[in-house]
Amino acid sequence: MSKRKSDAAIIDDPESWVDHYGDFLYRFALSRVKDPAVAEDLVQETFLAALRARESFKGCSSGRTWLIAILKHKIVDHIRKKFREPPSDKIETLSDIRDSDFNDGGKWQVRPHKWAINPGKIYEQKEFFDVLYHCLAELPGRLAEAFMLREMDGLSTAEVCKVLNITATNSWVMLYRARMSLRRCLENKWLGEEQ
Amino acid sequence: MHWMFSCKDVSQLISESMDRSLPFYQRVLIRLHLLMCKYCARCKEHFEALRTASRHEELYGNELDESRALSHAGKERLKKFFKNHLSDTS
Repeated sequence: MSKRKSDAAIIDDPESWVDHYGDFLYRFALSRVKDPAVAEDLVQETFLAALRARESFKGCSSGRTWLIAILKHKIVDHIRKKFREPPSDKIETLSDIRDSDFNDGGKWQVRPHKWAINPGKIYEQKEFFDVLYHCLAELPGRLAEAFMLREMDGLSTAEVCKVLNITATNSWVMLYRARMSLRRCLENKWLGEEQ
Repeated sequence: MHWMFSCKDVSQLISESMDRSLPFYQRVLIRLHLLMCKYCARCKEHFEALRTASRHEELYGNELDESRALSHAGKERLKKFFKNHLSDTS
């Protein structure tokens, strides 16, 4: 086997995925879910989803990045199921999330706190992704999906609209609500110690 | 929208500016608002932190504990699963 086998060639050969990507995906899953058996299941689910979506891998990203993107969505689904927080896509719920942040005059009701850790360096903290994944799992499913596609997978807004079958205006509103909820969730669960 | 944006408007527009380019006058009004309102400035900082962190996750992934790996049995299970699945679908 050539040492520098291209990603496209590996993706074309699913039987080699376990050797090429298995350990990395497993480590990634384990860092989020802590349970080795669950991590292994998530790797398997990721491979299965990847197998079904193989056509969508166009070689534009690395095979590893492509598989990790799938794995992240599986992790959020897993956390959501584990904590039995049924995703709610009701519009009322969505507007509640937003309106509770402001009073009638449009002023902050729950003011954003100064975070205890420099926001620009927050990803350096090990706990950050644990909290973020739990917060994502608490969001209504489609909001979490929109946020992950845009911010984690780095899709353009137009691509997000295509995947979720929504209008551009809708995507801006959904991303806004996702960011507001995540911001507040991180603050409540972890960071909002200082006024 | 009133010409003087409220915090609610500004937080929404800050988020939108991360997904599309806003008209010039809106950018100016947001900037003015941010000069006067530390809470909206924090909100902007938090939205940006969410983006920076989310896009840094791959880097974090490279620092994962290298000593953790799939067990031999785990790898065999996955390979078997693959073989079964591929033979089912072919």
